[in-house]
This record gives sequence, structure tokens and C-alpha cells, in this order.
Amino acid sequence: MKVFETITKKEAELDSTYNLSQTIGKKALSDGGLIVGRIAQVRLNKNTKQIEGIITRNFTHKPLYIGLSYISKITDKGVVLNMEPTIFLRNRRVITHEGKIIGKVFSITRKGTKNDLENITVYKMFRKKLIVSANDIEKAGKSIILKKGYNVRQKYFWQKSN
Amino acid sequence: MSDKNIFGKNQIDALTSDDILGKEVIDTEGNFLGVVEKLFIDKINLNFNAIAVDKGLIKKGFVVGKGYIDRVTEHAVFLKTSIAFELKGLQVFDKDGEKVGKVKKVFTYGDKNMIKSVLVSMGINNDLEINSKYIAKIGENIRLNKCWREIKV
Repeated sequence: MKVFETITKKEAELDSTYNLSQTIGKKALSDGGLIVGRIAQVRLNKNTKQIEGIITRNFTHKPLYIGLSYISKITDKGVVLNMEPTIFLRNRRVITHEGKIIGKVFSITRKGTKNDLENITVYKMFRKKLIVSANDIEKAGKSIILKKGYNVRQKYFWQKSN
Repeated sequence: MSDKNIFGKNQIDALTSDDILGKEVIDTEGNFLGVVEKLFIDKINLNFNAIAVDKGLIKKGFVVGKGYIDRVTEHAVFLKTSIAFELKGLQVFDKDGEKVGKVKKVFTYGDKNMIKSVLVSMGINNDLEINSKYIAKIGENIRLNKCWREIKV
């Protein structure tokens, strides 16, 4: 490393820091190792000058702005999040507690801009879309498993809604 | 179904081989692992022991002991756990998010579903065996709790 002149008051030494530009282009991973995207930008708060979040780019999704609250680690090797982004639940299979496939996730509704799920819209061919509340979801992994006792009444698109 | 019964107990609620064979097998993460192909019954005590899961023409199937079966429902057989051998092919990242490689092989403790270590392919003729104690989380891929350079089995 080059020799630098240092002008600091109470900040950490140079060797205790790393170059944030090296993070750009690296992968952002979710808690479970899902590749969320490549880091396009690291955003700083205009007032506090602290890191507020990152922007990731992925071919399959719109660019994501992820807040620092959801970031576990930022290094020059990449970024690790502390959650599984719920927006990646799209196109996952939805199955009942009995194992019946009722469709795929068409869209998700979050609580504002948080990662918390409010509900999902389930789609199956020739059936009307079904909205399932997050409270009825037992597990959201590779597939979404609904809770026991959830009564699914999917209608064909030609049937009248209640 | 025959009405004659010399068992002495009502078998209306019992499961039959028809209820299990051909059903999808799903793990705790919602992974569809395959289809129940066979039932294994101990030839001495005639107890149901395990099921064989068929993963299709190309992939190898596996056998799951009844202890790992959570429930048999109308549409599927649910397992209590994820299968260790399903880790093969997953990418491995270290604690800093650096890619280490892909899982080439999974070593378990005997025939149990407990991971002992994973063999990670880092390139041509370059494999690294990583003990399970360094695995932080298993999800879509595997994340370690240490930098790969510090890991030695």
C-alpha cells in the first residue's frame, strides 16, 4: 500500500478501513446465499455522511435499493444481507399443507417498502387469481407452504366471484 | 375393499401402499425431491422402515428412513428435514461474500442425514473439504462463517 499523509481527528487508521469502490461489481448475497445481484452503487446519506444502502442490479429484476437495516456485512469481497428479499418469491410454487399445488406466486405485496410480506397473489392457468395473506403462510422456502386449515377455494375464470 | 377383517382393529384410518407410492416427496423448505418409488418393510418384524425416492431418469434417487417422514397427506409425503445430499451443486460463499466454489460431494456421518463435511470444487484439480462447523447457513446456496483461506479440515 502507498504511504499516505494522514489528517484525522478521531477516525480509524487507514489500515482499519477498506476501499468501498472495490465493493462495486461484487455480488450481494441474501442470508441464505441467494445471489441478489451485483452491487452497482453504495449510497451515502447527504446529511450524516453514513452509508444508507446499496443499489444492486440483476438481469431478472428491477434494480434494488436495499437499506442498511437489511445489510449484515459490507466488505471489498461483497455484501451479505441479513434477510431473504421477499420480492424473489415471485414464480415460486404455492402448495397447501396437504401438498396440493395451487399455483405460482404472481405478485407479492409488502408492507410499504419493508421486506415484510403482506400478501401474495397466486396464479394458476384457467383459475382466478387468489390472494393469500402472509398470516396463512407457514413457510416460504423453495416453495411456499400454506398453514394447516387454510381453505383454498380457487375458482375458474368463468365462475362468479363472491 | 374387502369387508372381512381378521386383524381385530378398524383399518379405515390406516395408510396403505397406494396412499404413499407415487406421491411427491417435499422437504421442509418446500423442495420437491422426487416421487415415492418403493416402501421398505423389515422382513423379520414386518415394520415399515423407509421409502425410496425416485428423482427421475437422470438423477440418482435415495432412501429416507421413516424417522425423517413428518406426515403423509392426500397429495404428498412431507419430510421433517432437508436432505444433506441435495447440497450437491450449490454454490459456496465465505463470510465476506466471496465465492469459494460449488459443492462436489457431501460427506455424512454414516447413513444419517447429518453433514460431516462438503467437498467444494474451486477449479480444475482444486478441491477444498470444508467441515460442517464452518457452515453458517444453508439456503439457496451455502454461506460459511469464516473466510475460506482460514479454513482447514
